[in-house]
Amino acid sequence: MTRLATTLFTAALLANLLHCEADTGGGLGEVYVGVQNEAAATGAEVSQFETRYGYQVTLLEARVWLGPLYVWAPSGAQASSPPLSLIGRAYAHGGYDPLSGRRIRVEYASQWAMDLLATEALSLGLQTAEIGTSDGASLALLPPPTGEGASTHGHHLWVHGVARKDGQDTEFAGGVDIADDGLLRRVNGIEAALELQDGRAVVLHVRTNVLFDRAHFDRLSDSDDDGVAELLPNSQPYDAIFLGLTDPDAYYVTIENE
Amino acid sequence: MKPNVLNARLSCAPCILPLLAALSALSVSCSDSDSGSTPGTLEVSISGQSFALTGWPTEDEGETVALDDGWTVRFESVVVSVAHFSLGDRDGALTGLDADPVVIDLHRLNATTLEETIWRFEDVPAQRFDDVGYQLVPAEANSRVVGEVDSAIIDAMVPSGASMYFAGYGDLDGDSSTEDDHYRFEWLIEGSVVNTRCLNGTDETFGVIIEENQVNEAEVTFHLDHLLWDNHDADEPHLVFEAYAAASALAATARSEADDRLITMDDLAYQQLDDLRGLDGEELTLNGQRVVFRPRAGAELPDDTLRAYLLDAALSTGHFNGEGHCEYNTNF
Repeated sequence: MTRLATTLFTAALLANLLHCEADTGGGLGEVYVGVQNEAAATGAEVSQFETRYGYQVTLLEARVWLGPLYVWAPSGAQASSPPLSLIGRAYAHGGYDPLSGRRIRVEYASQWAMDLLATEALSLGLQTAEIGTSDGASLALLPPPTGEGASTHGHHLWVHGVARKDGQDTEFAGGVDIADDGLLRRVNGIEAALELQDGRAVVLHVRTNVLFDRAHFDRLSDSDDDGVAELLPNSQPYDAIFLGLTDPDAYYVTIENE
Repeated sequence: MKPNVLNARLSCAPCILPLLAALSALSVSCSDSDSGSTPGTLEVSISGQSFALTGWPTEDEGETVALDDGWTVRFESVVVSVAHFSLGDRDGALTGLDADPVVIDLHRLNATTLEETIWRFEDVPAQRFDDVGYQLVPAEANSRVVGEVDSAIIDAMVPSGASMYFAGYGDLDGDSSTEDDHYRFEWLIEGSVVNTRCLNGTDETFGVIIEENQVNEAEVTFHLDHLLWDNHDADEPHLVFEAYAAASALAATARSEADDRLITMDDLAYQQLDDLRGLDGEELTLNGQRVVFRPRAGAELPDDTLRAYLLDAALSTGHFNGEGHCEYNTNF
């Protein structure tokens, strides 16, 4: 066997063996992770919007705890070894996890409090990532870390605003919590069709209007002495904001230049 | 001068040839198959478990399973149209499996075995296939009918592109002879779903092992309790029916008609998921708490109505070998 033939034979064998491995993407790199209100990114007013039920909402204060964030490889790119870990299996009824066994490209493992009225993007820092294609993202919605929940009054989300409809103003305020039950604290199916590249930025966009889009603000509790109606559990507005907060359409991920 | 490492290694070509030969043997196939083994047979059955026959309340493995809102629900038909059972591994799908379209009424299965064989595949390579899948497909006029299926149901499914059909009734007092709270449902599920990468409910591994020279068994299993779940992401969702019954009344009111107590798919579009109503027209509650329906994780509903919710719930009722979930690629 000549050297050339041996070289070619060896290369072919290695290529064949590598083909047998799961799709491991293009190796590891680093990406910046950030988050931004969609309205701010498009130059729109971040604190005012109209809902599907015709409420003109003005937010005076709105903060939410988000994270961790996971960006997924397409189905078929199977999970393999660390450093990129996997969310645990959850095959119990219900709480079925459609992403069990899927490969993670980017994992931002911490939580952060987001001011939904901020006009600037929030940089979460540099993160190791697996270079390659992604087709979706998941966002965990965990309660604020112990001792760090002041900005949301201890809740997942805190909002204070005014909703106007038919000439009537309703000022409201309150917090929303998500039960620790199955996958309730995870938003799956977030749009994230990306080609991850080293040195670029992965940006989670939040559509604030979607969070409040389903609420019937005229069904809040009676206003208090200050004229503010409290957002209480077991009410339509509270449940509507829960649905909005866990709606994958409230979020999307893009890749941008750093 | 640096030594030429590449040349140094290649100069030992004769001594690595045995190693290359061994590697070559390993790389002939990426699968776990043993080309010298005897193939096996795979029999695929289908089941709607006991719920397809009995509805609720019912006894299941020694326990009473009942709806949380007190309704009694009985099925009269649970017709599914399945096809394209597939076995695959990292090399791709196994060719040659002839899983023809089958239409079957799961309500009419044998009450003892609760299952019926729908496909039998001979000469299947003996190996692990880690990607098992099958599809719910629109019923066709020439679909193979297994067992007894009312021809009128197939006649209704074919032109509408339905892959499932559910009929039955719900009663609040459990007495179907009284009409005041007796609601029939007839639901044509228009759409399809490609189930892939099914988890094996028997051993919680992906796929199935075909053992050589054996008749291997697998089951396509439908979980009908998913239809009535209020929350597909909770560990222990409630089973409720009133939201469906109330849809009939909501639709009648919207149409300025009397409530015919027949719940159709169109009626379900009058129930908004963010504001579910009960039979009394008020907010739907259970044990004093508002009922909020939450679709399964990752579901992409076309709108926020109970109709969309049921479509997605129905199309993701298919499992593998009992409790094994699949990846559901729904199309509706």
